[in-house]
Amino acid sequence: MYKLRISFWEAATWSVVILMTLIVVSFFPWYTAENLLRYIFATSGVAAIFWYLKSRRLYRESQEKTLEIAQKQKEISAHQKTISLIFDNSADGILILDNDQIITDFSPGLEKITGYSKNEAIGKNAQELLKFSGDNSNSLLPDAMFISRSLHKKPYIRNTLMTKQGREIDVEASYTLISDPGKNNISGMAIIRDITYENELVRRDKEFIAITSHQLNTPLSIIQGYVSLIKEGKAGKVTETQMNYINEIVSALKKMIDLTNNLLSISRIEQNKIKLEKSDVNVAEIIKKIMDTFGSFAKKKNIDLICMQPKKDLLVYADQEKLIQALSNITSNAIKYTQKGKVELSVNREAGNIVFQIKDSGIGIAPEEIERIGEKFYRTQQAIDADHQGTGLGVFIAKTIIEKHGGTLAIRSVLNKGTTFVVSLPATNY
Amino acid sequence: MKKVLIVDDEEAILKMYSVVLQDEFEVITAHNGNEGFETAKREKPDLIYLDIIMPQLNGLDVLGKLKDDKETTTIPVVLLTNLPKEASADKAKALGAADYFVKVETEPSKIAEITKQILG
Repeated sequence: MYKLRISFWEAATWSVVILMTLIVVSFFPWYTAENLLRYIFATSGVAAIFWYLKSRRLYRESQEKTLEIAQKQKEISAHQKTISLIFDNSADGILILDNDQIITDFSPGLEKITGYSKNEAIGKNAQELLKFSGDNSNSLLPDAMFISRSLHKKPYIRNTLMTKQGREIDVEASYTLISDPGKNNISGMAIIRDITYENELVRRDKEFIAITSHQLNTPLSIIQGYVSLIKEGKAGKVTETQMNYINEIVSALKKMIDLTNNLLSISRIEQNKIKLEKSDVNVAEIIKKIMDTFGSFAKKKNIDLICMQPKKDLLVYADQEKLIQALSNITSNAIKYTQKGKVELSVNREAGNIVFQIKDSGIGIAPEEIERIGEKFYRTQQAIDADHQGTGLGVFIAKTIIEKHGGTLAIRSVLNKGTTFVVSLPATNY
Repeated sequence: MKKVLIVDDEEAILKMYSVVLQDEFEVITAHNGNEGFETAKREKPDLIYLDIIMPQLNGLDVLGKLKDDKETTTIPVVLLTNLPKEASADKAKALGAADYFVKVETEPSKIAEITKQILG
């Protein structure tokens, strides 16, 4: 629909002209020549004043527009300068392609990453120049860009790129389409980052723990082996005092072996290498093994370790060794953080689950800290005060193992009264 | 007397397991993968305990060679290592290992029991 567009000044001018005409016509009859002249002078005078004012305003406005355009141009050129600074100085490589995947720009960062110079690159087909060889080698630039157009999302690819010198480097690339409004011309931009060093650091970090704990285990197994030979009398008769000393060595040794095993478990968890070898496991046997392991530790602390075996045989479909490791970590904490009283181990079948409960009368956990239990290396202030030697790994490992089995770990606790850990795992029989 | 070969690059480990086996078995030892394979071919032991991480030829490679060689293919081989079961037990079983034990969890007396079980 047509819209009447009229400015305030135009409306004012025309209103005054019409008003003047009406005044002149009403006071002086218009048909005398003298009056007609008066009328013409009066109206054109007023019109002239208004047109003068309007043109002055228009001139001023055009001046302002010119200044504004100059300012905008300045901003655009500053912006372009910033973009070109980013393009020239970014350590990440920037690649611009046209519609046919021909390289139209190649940043200095990309020259450094790939070994190709801008001159060598421009005008070449991107796929022919930049060769990817990793798992995603099919996801080359044009494909990735096409995907981005059809899926409306930015593809993000990690791959191995062959440099001009034939060296393989790990890269991370993100792709964006640049569409030119008004033209049916879509080009693309890729930002490529060299992540070889970053990957190497992550790999070294993961390997460090695995290698260290393996290397620690070799001398530990030698110490443990010879101590057990002495204990068995293979090196002659052992006196009572000697046996007491040997038992101290054995218990310290067990702590070290547990620590290296925990570190190894962490390293495997982080490398996502935890594998479960599941079978139907008798629950009573698991409880018995835990009782055997921790009986003397509880006795030494004067704590009653009570075990309530299930009334009938229960089976759980689990990795026996790992489940024992998880429950041992929790039981060991329960005894460690209980100064007097008891630790109760019970197991029941509830609905479709086998539920283990480890209940202690220990230091407890503050309500605000309960949800952080199970975070790697997290220890509550009470736990730190009670035992400086803990690592904060035990519950993290237990929780990971339980969750790998499709189970859950819940914690109920009252500060200074005690804590109950509830481990729930899917059962297999009735 | 039945013959048991232990292959490990740690002298202390060799001595430790020899102590519990030598009363009932003839124990021979080798200090690296190559020596282990050569000794097995020459001595034809009744049972081999094999470490994994060793210089020259690692235990899994030795196991592969032993199983490929018709002179040694029937000898039961037990891996005795400090690599966790998750890391290599599957591979060892696939190559034909009779069993897999982690040293830090296996006291010498247990090795004596296992040996008696296998050799009867």
